[in-house]
Amino acid sequence: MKGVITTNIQFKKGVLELCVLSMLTRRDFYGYEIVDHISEYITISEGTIYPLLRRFDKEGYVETYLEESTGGPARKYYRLTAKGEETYEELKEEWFSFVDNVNQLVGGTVNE
Amino acid sequence: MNKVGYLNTLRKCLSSLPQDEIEDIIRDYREHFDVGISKGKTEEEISEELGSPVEIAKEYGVSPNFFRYERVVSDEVDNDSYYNEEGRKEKFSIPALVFWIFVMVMAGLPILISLYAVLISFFVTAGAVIISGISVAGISLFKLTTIGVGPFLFYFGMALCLIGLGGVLINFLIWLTKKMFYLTGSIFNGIKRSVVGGY
Repeated sequence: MKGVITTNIQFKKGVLELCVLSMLTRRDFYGYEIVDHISEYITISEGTIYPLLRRFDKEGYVETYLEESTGGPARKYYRLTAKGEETYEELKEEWFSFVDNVNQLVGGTVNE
Repeated sequence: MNKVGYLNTLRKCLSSLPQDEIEDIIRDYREHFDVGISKGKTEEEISEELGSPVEIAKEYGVSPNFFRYERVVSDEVDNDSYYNEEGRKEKFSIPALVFWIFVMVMAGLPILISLYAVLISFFVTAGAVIISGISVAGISLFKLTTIGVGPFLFYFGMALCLIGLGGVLINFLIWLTKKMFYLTGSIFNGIKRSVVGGY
């Protein structure tokens, strides 16, 4: 386990969005991969990632397409759209400035 | 919970959404199960990791109120913990049991017993009507020679009427008995549900 985050649910949901978008900037993934990868880092009911992916789809952050796999069910892949990329950049900036601010507030943990 | 049980429960939890959306969502979770299984996980593990179908449905925009009024969880899920977040009683509740025993002893049973007593007395009445009809018919036939044809036809006709009336009465009582059994069953089921909890 790599420094698993276990914090309150609302906060986690926001972070979750950023993490999923960030994954999708690298390549297209199918649902199970996303869930599996995210849950390696964040403790969350895995079932709640699919609603998020569906919302991304509705809001146009991602596109989906089905692809047959060898010896398995067809898999629904998620591909980041230009709009999704924009959102990702915004969220990422928000996140970093948030983390910076918290670090400054908490002090101690930052090199002075 | 296994794959089928989980998907069925999820489907019920989502049932306030449009049908095509439900199918779409269920498709995603079915894929998740299938991929998980092909990677060597058990259906139970995957269900566990996915978490509560109720919570998932809420994420899809199903109103939390929906779960207060709808029976969404199938029998096979009863002994699982998915409904705990909903504050449903799942364990055996002693206070509820004591309360219901009190109510039943004080009010329920006396009423039920007297209703059944009335029912039985109706059956006896119907039986008596039929028997008296038969006996009148028998006697009038037996006395045919002494009373003459006219009175005989009168008595015999009356007897047939009585038998018919009794038959109708019995039919009605059988129907009434079924209703009574159904009512009694519902009462005890309701009590059981409030004591043991769940659906």
